[in-house]
Amino acid sequence: MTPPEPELSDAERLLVAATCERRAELELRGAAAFTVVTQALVDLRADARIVDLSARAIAEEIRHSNIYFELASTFARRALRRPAFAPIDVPAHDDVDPTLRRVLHVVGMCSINETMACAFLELCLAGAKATPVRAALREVLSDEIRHARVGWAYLASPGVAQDARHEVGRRLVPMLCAQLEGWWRQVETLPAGAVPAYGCPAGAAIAEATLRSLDELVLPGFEALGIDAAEARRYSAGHAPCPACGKRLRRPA
Amino acid sequence: MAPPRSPRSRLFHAIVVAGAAVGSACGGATTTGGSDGLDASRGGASGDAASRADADAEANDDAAPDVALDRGAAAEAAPVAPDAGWDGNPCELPGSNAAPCNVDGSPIPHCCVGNGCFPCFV
Repeated sequence: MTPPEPELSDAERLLVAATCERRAELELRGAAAFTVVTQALVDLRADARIVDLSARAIAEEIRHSNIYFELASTFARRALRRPAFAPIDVPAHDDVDPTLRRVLHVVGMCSINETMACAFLELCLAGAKATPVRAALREVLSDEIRHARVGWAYLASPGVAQDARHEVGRRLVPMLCAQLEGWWRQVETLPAGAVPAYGCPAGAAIAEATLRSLDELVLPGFEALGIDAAEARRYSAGHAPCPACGKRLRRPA
Repeated sequence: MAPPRSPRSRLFHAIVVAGAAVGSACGGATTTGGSDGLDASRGGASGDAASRADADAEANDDAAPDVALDRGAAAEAAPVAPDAGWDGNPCELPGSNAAPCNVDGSPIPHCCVGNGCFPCFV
């Protein structure tokens, strides 16, 4: 790994290290989530090409964790403890049958979460100037694009019936609400400060990119595939609450 | 329902358009077809067998070519049309260019690098 480029204060260097260390852990959670998605796709008898994309995503997320860990160690200038796998909370969707639950897991993780993650990485890359950081972000983003495709590929595959698409549309707002809360939890607990030139944008910028990704990527994606996102549009505009929790869309504190 | 808004980002092409192309190229042998996926009355072993038989029949009828994964070879079959609003600027990655893709012939600039071929986005 190329040594960090020079124009960083110690405080900024440590912030970059802490951010990368945190992302290394989050990428392992992504790997764990893709084990769930891959099993769901197998159980749904999805096309092998889609299952293959998802299965490869498990290893790719682990590689991302290593990439971020190496960056964290470089910027920290000391040995760090590698992040470890831990069980993840999988959305229960306990009011639906197992088949629809699997569909919702694929959609929630790939069509929504990974698509939003691409917008986040695009933001990071747009501000990044440091060579090793740009290289890392490009590698991660190119993989995350494929990971997001898994959800859209599944939804576009001929075997997904109209009633499944309808159910996805009906449950979009609660899924979006839960995803955004997850993103806001991360934003609200970021280390103080920002170093955009090293891939660490400010929380406000991340929140803005996340919300734009909802309006410009996620919802148009569902609409393009014939899934009714009208209620989700109202939720995104702050005009309708989430039917599950009763709360309107909020921005992070 | 209002017509879908036209997204203008390169990411939309790289993710949704290309993803839908992969899905459209699939044979359709999944259990969410028809009532298999959502009708609980067909659950359990008999439902599984029924959906497997449906899937087998569908697969046998399907003469779809074996499209190379992630190469966008089925882009023409994508249900989502490329967005005319995209600026088409190539990116900085080695292998990117503004010419038609040398892997799948897609008319939009592609990055043909690593293990993916996708519209330029960085």
